[in-house]
Amino acid sequence: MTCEEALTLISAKLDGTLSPAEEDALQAHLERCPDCRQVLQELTDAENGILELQADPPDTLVPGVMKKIRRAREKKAERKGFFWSAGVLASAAAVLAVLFGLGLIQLPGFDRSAPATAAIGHFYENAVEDEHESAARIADERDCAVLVVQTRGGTIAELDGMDCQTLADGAKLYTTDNTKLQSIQAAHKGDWAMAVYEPAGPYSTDASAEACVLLVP
Amino acid sequence: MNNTRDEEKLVRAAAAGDDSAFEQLMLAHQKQVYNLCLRMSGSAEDAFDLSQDAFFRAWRALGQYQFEAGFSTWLFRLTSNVCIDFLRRKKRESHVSLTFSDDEEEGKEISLPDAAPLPEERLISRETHGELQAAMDALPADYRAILQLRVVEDLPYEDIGRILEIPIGTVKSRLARARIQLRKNLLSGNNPPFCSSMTVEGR
Repeated sequence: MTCEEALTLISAKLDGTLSPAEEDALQAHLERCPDCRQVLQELTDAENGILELQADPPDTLVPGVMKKIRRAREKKAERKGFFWSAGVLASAAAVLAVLFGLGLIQLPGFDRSAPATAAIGHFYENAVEDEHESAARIADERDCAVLVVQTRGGTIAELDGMDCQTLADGAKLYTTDNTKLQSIQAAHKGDWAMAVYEPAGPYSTDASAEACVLLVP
Repeated sequence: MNNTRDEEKLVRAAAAGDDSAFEQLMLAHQKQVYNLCLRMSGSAEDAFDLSQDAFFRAWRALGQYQFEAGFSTWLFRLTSNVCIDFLRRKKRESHVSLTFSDDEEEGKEISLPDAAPLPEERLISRETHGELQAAMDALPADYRAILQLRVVEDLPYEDIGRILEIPIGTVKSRLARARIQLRKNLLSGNNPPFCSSMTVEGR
């Protein structure tokens, strides 16, 4: 047995995973090799020492997480509330539009009926609530700003040819930097609905720091 | 927490929205999580933030935990990933030249930077354990992580493999390499290796 082979067995011995045959073979080597005996002794001492290097976590650790959890719950409730009202508004608007379209009500300033549909409002309500969740999560996980753009399948020229990750719901996630995020935001403000999500904690706003763009179908 | 049935109950309650159940889980696991973060980051301040981050993510991901592995295995994997992300980010930001371990599974394996803690961040019982602490700190992060999981947490190879997402063969070889490197670090540094066949880099 070479010293190198013995070392693998010494490691396994420290883990208590040697077979009886391996144990015998290692023992035979150790009897002949004072260097390996010393290694075994030193490592045994070192590992006992490592056990004593453990520290107690600060008392504020768990309460800090509980605080974060409560904040996250509050935020989520706010989002839900917002979208609930947005949904109600959209439905109310749709009902009005349908009534108006049927000529059942008169709206000031309109002298012709116009077709309207409730689908957009409902779609927006459901689809974007999920995107809210994933954008907030991505922002937190990557510690960077996330620009959500509801392109409805459209593309953004600034992102052409860049690699992207397609999420389960068909949204496309691009990893870029803050400069690009801002230029996309400025260039397409009027084109699509968009919103920026920031992580809960501090993050870098440097021009070259990472930022994400999430295209929502 | 030794009783896995109790723990499973707590996990289910926490996943259903019982925050006090989650708090109990955290109290039971905070020492393990904190010390893994401490070992990987090398700094008490970072370890605190990383532990909180890991627990918060665990809370958010509880619904995805399917009891396919023990809860602590799942939590360790999540914690280790949080630490790895942190070290990668730190590496990107600092552009420091960093030490790498030398595992076989290139391509998949991302070698991790050394956290290079400040002297005042080296922890506890400096007089008795200063040398050992320094020798541990000087290891690549993946070596620190595997020694923590094996030596301190006393986890079997299978669990370590699940946590670090590496095959069992790699667990064994990485442990052996980590130990050799640790011993090298413990020797003052000027001493030549006692046996030329022992070099870690040999491939």
